[in-house]
Amino acid sequence: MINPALRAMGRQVTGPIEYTLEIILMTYLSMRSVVVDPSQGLRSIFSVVMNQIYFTGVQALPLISVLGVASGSIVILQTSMNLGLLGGSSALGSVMVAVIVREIAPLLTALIVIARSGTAVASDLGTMKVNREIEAMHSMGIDHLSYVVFPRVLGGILSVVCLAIYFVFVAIIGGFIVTNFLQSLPFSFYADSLARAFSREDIALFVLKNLFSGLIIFVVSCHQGLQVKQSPHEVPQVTTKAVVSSIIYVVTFNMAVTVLFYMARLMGWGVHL
Amino acid sequence: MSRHRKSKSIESMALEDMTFAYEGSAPLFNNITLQLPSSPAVWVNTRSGERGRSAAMKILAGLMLPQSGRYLINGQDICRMTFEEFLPFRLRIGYGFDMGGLLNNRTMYENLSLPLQYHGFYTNDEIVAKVGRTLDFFQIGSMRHQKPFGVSGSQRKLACVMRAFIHDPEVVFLDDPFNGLKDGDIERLLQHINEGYATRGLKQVYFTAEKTFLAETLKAEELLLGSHFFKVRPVAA
Repeated sequence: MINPALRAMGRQVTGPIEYTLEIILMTYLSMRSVVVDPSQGLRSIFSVVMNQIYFTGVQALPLISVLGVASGSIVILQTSMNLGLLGGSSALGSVMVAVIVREIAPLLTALIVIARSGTAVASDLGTMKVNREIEAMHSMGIDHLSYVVFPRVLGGILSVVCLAIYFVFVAIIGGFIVTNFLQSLPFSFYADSLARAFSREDIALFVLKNLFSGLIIFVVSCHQGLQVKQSPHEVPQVTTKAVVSSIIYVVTFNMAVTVLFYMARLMGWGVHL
Repeated sequence: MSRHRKSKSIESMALEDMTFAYEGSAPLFNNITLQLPSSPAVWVNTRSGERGRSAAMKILAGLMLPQSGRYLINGQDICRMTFEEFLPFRLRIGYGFDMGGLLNNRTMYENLSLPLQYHGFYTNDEIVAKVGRTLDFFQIGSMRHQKPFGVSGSQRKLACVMRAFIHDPEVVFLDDPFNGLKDGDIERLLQHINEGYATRGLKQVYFTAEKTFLAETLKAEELLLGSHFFKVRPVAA
């Protein structure tokens, strides 16, 4: 017989693995459900995708604008002030790309989407479960994975990618405008510095991070929402779990991608790790 | 009338050694074997105070799976089928919930038209006409643009029952359909069922109800449920 303490320790290890596998399985099944019979309700699914994009993408624009401008201004001001003292102002573009494009935009966008939409999706699905709406869909021959989960995930991914692009745009332009109220920064110098700093790898890293952040947030939130069994009391519980799990997965993923990116870059420069 | 190209007509339904229990509870049904009756109306009932009617209805409609045993439709075990494999039968089955089941962010019209649109049963014009006719027949046409929280409880219940019939199924399962309905709505529902038998290809209605007279009105057979038996018998006068 296994010692209960040992069993509990084992659960600490197997629990997250099991959960991750469930998330991957749900991602696969939701995509499969659409592919298996594409004649099923593509029109209905399209309207759900549009609703999700409107809620997650369009309605988040004001908040993203504020954060984008603030982040851009802070990075430009701090960089130009500190690097200026060392005569390294020309590195402003590189810092903007490294900090805003590679790190802050994907992470802050994901956190905003988790706070606004991840919670909404988890509680929405939880409430649907309590109200037997999911069961009702099954009774009508509608697979909730294709009608409820897939459109939310697809709409969520598209929204996250677009929001992150918008974040970068606002941070670069807005940050420049705000900075010019405090200190003179020639636009040609700023634009030239940015243009020299951008590389294909940055775009690939940016797209990869945001695609997977969107996928993670919405699959985790849908999965948590569907864990509700019968009681409305479970809805806030699964919503909290959705937020916590989404943050852990997104931050871990972003960190892992960044580490791999810099390792690859160092190896490209001939550094042996 | 257009019918989904993939739907399959239901000829027979049978349970073999079916055992069912809710999670963490003692089995509700044990080793039930039964060829389900083929009569047009079946009153699913339990002895006074016993439970299991809603569970039995959901099992028979394929919404819940038993823990063991087989549920055969046309001789095929649906317990081993995927969602897609069961879909051809599902499209010939309607289900009305005792409570809830309407999509809260959809209007009454959208709730009724959803299965028709989703499966592409009909053209848009046909859907508008069909759903409009049904709403008008049940005298809630004026509520078509209201969401479920904007209508009365009896109208919600009525919409839920109506939706079970909207795609012209062959077999309909109605869990306590008459509870909460007004007398006029019950009369219209009974008329709708009888018209279904005559013109829309409806073969069977399984229902649960507290009132015996409804079973008598529909000339139903009684399917009496127990934890170790399902027994078909005439409705006791």
